[in-house]
Amino acid sequence: MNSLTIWIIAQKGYQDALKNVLFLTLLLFLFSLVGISLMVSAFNFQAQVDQYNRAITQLQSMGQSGVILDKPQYFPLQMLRGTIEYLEIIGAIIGIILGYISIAKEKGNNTMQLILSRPISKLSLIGGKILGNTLLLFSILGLIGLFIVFAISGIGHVAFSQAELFKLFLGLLFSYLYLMVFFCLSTLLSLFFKSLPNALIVGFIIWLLIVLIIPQIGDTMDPDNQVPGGLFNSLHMDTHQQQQVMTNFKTYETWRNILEESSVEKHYERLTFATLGIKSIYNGKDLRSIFQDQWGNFLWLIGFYIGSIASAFYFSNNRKFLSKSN
Amino acid sequence: MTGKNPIINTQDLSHKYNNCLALDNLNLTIYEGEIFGFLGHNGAGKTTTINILTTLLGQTSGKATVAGLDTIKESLQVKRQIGYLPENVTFYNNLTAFENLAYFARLSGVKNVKEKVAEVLEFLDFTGIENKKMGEFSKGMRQRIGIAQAIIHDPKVLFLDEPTSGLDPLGIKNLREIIIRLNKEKHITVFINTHLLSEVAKTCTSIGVLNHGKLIYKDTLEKTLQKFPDEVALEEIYIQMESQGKV
Repeated sequence: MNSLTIWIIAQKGYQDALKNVLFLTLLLFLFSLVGISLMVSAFNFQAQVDQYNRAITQLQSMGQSGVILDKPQYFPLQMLRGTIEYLEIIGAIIGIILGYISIAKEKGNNTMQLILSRPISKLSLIGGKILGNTLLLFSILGLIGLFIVFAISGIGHVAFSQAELFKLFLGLLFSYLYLMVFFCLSTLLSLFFKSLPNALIVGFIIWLLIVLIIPQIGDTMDPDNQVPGGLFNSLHMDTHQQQQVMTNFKTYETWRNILEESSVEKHYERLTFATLGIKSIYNGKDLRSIFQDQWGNFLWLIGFYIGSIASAFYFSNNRKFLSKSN
Repeated sequence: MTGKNPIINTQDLSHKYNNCLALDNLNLTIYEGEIFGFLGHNGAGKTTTINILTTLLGQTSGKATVAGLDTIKESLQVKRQIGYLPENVTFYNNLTAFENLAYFARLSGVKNVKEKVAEVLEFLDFTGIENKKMGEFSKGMRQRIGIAQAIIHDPKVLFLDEPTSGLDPLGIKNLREIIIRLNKEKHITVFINTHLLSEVAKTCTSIGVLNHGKLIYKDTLEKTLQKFPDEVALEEIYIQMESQGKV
């Protein structure tokens, strides 16, 4: 592989995406939703703080300054539930579109043949495409990260701690791994399908399965989700009791788990929700204890990422796939 | 101007798409300096041949060399020696002509990109369009940019796949002149895939006829015209050759 060629292709891929109307529209949509979700959360928190301050002032005016009221607790990362969910759904579509722009459009325009008639290897070509889109996703996620920090600290008036910033960085890094899986999936489909619109349609069908249908089936089958607020919670059962009950549903739970774990989205969501403390039981916990619990999801996510990148390299190196006459 | 050194050579070259034999033991030698016209009906195997010679496709069996280099074992070196213009390229419509050419020049390892783009456009008598978006170009203009990208790295051999497809008569005439100038002034060997006999007669120095993957005729244009003195007769013979599958 030639590093200069990879860099030239990467730059081109980055610029191509920024000139693509569909990609920019989706990006704007994602930013808008993330922005709205963050602002609503931040304003909600600000309202709680204002309410607390008013209550204190009122108590003081009544001469009750000795009364202690718990100040609302501020967990900025917990406000990111919406952001992560939008990345899961719209981010994945963006990944698919980026893969389509990278390969399918080049095949359709016959520019792929022009590129491949240059003294560059197919590995350099796909390496350049992956690098360009990695930089693009880093830019997008970096902007989202900055927006999160400024929106929450600006509206909520509470600064992030260093540990929270590091957790945010990890959350965005996991998002990159997740989005690249969809980029590679779309790249592979564009390599395999002769009809390029079919590649895009199949990409969306797989997206629908991975992102919406499988996780939804898994959630619906979860015994704890059968009652709003949680079945075990409403029965006032502790963790030990819950585990005892669940031993009677071992086979059922195994199948439900297999179904959920077949979706990369579930691993990404579990890992990110735990890292950011969106799932309450992990809120405020240190990373070591979070990872003791979540290493399985971490390995699955890394596995999906490495597997999809390796597949993109392997199949694009097959000389039949990149020429139009395959 | 034709030399005696073979620049393209194929030995028993065959290619199968699943069970369909697209190219059947093609033995072809093209010499340095020739403008070779590869004639054949649609689906005869012309594009498959060009794809193999430009290293875009691997053959099922046989051997092909370009500039003395094996198209499989030395594909990167082959690519340094060739320029290629496929049929119906649309380029990057949102980029300017300069940006398109600069991209392909950089991919070909051209160092002084700006000067080279200017030089090539001047050779093609196509200056002043550098900053226009490709989306605004006519088919004829695109073909010129297509030629420009194919010669920007000074290749020894230029492969053109149906270059006159979709062009108006003036565009065809201009392209014909460019091909002849490239051959005479830049000493580039040109390999043209076409199904237009009239174009071959006006541009090429040698011709080959492919029928259902088999080479059924190859000779210089001079000798061919001696055998078939007028174009109408040549056309009739071409149709006859194709229907019989032999000369």
